[in-house]
Amino acid sequence: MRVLTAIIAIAVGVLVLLGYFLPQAAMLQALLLDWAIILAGTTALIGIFNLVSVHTDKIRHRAKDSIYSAILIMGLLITFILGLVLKPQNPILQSIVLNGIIIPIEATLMGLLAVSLLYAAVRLLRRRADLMGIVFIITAALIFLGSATLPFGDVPIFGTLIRPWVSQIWALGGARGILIGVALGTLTTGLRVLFGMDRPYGGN
Amino acid sequence: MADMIQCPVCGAENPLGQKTCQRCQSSLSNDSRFQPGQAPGVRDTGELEAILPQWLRDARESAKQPDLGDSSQEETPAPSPKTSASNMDFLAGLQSQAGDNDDDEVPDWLANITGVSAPKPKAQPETTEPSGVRWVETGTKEDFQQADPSAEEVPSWLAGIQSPQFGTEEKDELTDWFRESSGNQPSFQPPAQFTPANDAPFSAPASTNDTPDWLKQMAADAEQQEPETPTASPIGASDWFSDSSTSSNAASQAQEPEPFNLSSDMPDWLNQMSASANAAPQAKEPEPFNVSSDTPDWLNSLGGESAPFDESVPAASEPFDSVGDIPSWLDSESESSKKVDSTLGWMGSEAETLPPTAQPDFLQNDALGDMPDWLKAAAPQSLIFDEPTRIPETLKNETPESKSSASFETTPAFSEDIFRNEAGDGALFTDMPDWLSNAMDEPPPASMVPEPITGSDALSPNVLPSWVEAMRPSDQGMSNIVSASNDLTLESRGALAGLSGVLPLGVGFSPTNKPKTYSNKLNASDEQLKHAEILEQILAAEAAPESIAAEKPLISSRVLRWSLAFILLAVTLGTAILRTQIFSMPEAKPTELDYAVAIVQAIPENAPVLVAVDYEPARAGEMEAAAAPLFDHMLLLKHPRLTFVASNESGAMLTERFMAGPLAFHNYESQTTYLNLGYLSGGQMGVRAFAQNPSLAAPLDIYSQPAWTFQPLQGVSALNQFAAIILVTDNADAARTWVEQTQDARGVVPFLVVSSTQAAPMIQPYFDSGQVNGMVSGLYGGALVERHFNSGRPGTARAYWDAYSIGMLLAMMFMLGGGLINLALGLRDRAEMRKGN
Repeated sequence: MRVLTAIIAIAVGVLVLLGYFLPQAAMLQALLLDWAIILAGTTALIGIFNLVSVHTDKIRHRAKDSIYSAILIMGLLITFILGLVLKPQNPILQSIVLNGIIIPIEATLMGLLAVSLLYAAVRLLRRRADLMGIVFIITAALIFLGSATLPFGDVPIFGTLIRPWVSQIWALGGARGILIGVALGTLTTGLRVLFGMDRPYGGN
Repeated sequence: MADMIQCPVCGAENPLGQKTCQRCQSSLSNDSRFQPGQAPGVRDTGELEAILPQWLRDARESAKQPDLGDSSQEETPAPSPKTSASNMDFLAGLQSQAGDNDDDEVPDWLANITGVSAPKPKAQPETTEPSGVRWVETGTKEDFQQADPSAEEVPSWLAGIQSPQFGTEEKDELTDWFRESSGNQPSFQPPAQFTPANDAPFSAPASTNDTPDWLKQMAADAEQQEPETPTASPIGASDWFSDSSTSSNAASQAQEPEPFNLSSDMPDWLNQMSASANAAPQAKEPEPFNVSSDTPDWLNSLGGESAPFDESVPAASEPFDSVGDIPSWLDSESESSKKVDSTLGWMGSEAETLPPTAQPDFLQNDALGDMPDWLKAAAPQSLIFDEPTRIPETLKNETPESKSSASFETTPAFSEDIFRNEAGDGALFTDMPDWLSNAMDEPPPASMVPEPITGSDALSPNVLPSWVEAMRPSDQGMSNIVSASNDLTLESRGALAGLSGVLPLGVGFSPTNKPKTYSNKLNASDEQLKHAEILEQILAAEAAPESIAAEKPLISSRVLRWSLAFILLAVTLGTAILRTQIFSMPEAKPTELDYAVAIVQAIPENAPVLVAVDYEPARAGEMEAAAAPLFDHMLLLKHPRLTFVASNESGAMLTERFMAGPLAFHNYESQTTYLNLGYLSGGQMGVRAFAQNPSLAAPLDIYSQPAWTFQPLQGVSALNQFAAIILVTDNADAARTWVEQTQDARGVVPFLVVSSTQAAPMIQPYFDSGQVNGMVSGLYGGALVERHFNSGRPGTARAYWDAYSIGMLLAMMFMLGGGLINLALGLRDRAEMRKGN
């Protein structure tokens, strides 16, 4: 059985890869991708069912903070029913669910994150007064100062020279390095899967 | 379970009343099992009747006939039947069978053997001859020149032995002899030195016609010295005896030595006895040779010399076996002597010293020697070993036969060496029955103790013959077995784990000596010891944990945290609510922004534009402020037909929010001027599928209507048919997915990215590489587009810019100021810690 799954996985990978190079294999690639999309949607449903099951068990066993599980289940059911009845583009549903609940809550979390990050940066040198800590604080201060403007325009030097230099040189160099690493990792992982060395689908 | 009897041998359960075990066929009755020291009980041996030899059955038949009387038997003491029965359990069956018909039918010989009070025997007709006695069939009495024997005709030492019917009653030549031989004994007490296995040497010989050397020597000596000197009696064994002896030999030759085989040289004890006949006043009585009607050669040769032959019959060797066919020497002796004193010359001294009724033990054993093996095997010989130890001291001292016992000591009939040489160590006793072996160990109960032997043949316990001692089973092996069986070692491993005493140590496998001890002192020099000590210290230092200075835990400053939160919230909220425009808009335009605006300006009029939405609701404010100036500029200039597709779950709703929010004043209507295809599931695979075949991957819009039939998608069936593709995302991975998966499908279609400030650095490389044609990042980029390319429209960036700028400045100040203060505090703490250490 493990051999069969490996054969299927490798064959599908090879066919999808050939779809990028051979026009004749594009149709087969599209078919396989459609199957994968269906499976991905199914996994989303399975995830939803698992979420409901876990929190239902917590409610049944009266676990600690089970009230939040109850709120989650109720919110899921209400949103699902309203979406089926009113459709997602309904202005009432949009104003209630999206503008009234989702966006404010997530925006609040982002605001709290900003305060927490600022507090951590202030206390950083109390705990770690080393070079990297100082560099981190200085870099952040420079970007902040370069991103902001003064009432009379950009902050001299910082907004026109330092911030672009930091963002376009240092930050971009780091980002490229990360992307190259991700690309190499993806390539290696794909080859290992194609050669059957890695079997994330099971069978070790 | 109460009705069940457990077999003492195998432990199996048997129904009550069952005599034999159903499994092992062993007897279940306690009476049948002979306990050590227990006197034999009554045992029905009637089943042995069928295997009795013919001669014995005939003898018994003849015994059942009315006995005409035997005056000599009247002198036999009549012990109580109970006692006799208990002592003769091996013949109890015979006795019982006989007694069933008539108690008087108990043969005399059996009565003498068993010790039962023999009924007064009736006179038996002399003509009565058991047909089964083969010696009678093969010969006649005249062949042996037998005369009517009588008590007066036998020598004195035979007076008490020979029965009145001696020689006249051919029916039972052994019976009378046995009767006489044990006439003075209350019960049959086999000698201790005889075991069933040891009977063979005494009963085996005499079948040969060759005269043994010792008998020849004795005959020659008798002829030379005196006429009374007995010669060896070449007794030809009768057929039945030959058969029995042959069978017994066959049975015993394999495992029993035959030290007394008469076909060999005269044994030492006999030589010694004969040589010192005068010296030993109580010489041993002769062995009971089985004399049959077959006349041996030597006897035939001596036929003419009947008188010497008769006188030279070695009384010490074969005195009474031939009752019916008494050899001529015995006849002549009877005739010539006519008195008790007419004994042989060489045995005269013995006869004088011996009481008339006294019989040495070995003589009685000789009588046993003529008995079949089965009968000897059934004999309760436990008394053999018990009897000597039960003799009272008074009797022991008073017994005149102590001398004869001493003579036995000096001339042991059995020596241990003989048995060892013949059959190996202990081989003799391996065949001993258990009851016989156990009889040696445990004394019988007091109730079972037989009456002390008062006869002259009683042996003193202290003068137990050496050959008897040699025959005693050694209890060393038994003790080893017992000790091994008592080994209750608990098995700790294997299949027998938890069981004790299952595998006791075998006998002889126990350790005999202690294991050798070795000194554990290390033979090392002082220098080596020093090096070892250093090595130990190094190893100990390696294993010792390194102490880490305890660091003072940093206490969370709630005041500072709340202070920062309050200041930031107050300033930003106040600035946003007041909509101040204190801070100026940014001036520096990045390159990617210029490219993005240029592409938007290059889009054809009313061209289809695909907009991919992939950002979270938490960043909706930033993304809308960043994208609204660009889209406002595009809608104002080109009025493109917008088609929105979302690659995350909330993208479809955020799209509707975006169109109904910052771009609401453009009056774009769904399914007319813009189309929302909704959520494109499958992640990268969904994007790839959409890039290959958009109509197949997203055939419907959010209203579940066929999307590709609406106005916004008119003339569009592939990705490269869009005028431009604009990605609005706050996720660098989503930007990478769209860039990589749609690159070959979009062709030369411009690809723009509107990203958040956080994701911009990760997308910037794609712009630098040409995969992304333009990019607007964050509020900063939107403010630039709004200021430089859209004349301040729609004003979203401007609305947030003061709050954004002041927030950035406050954050920078807090970080720098607070960082410096905390740096100083940290240095102070470290200085104090160093001082403390």
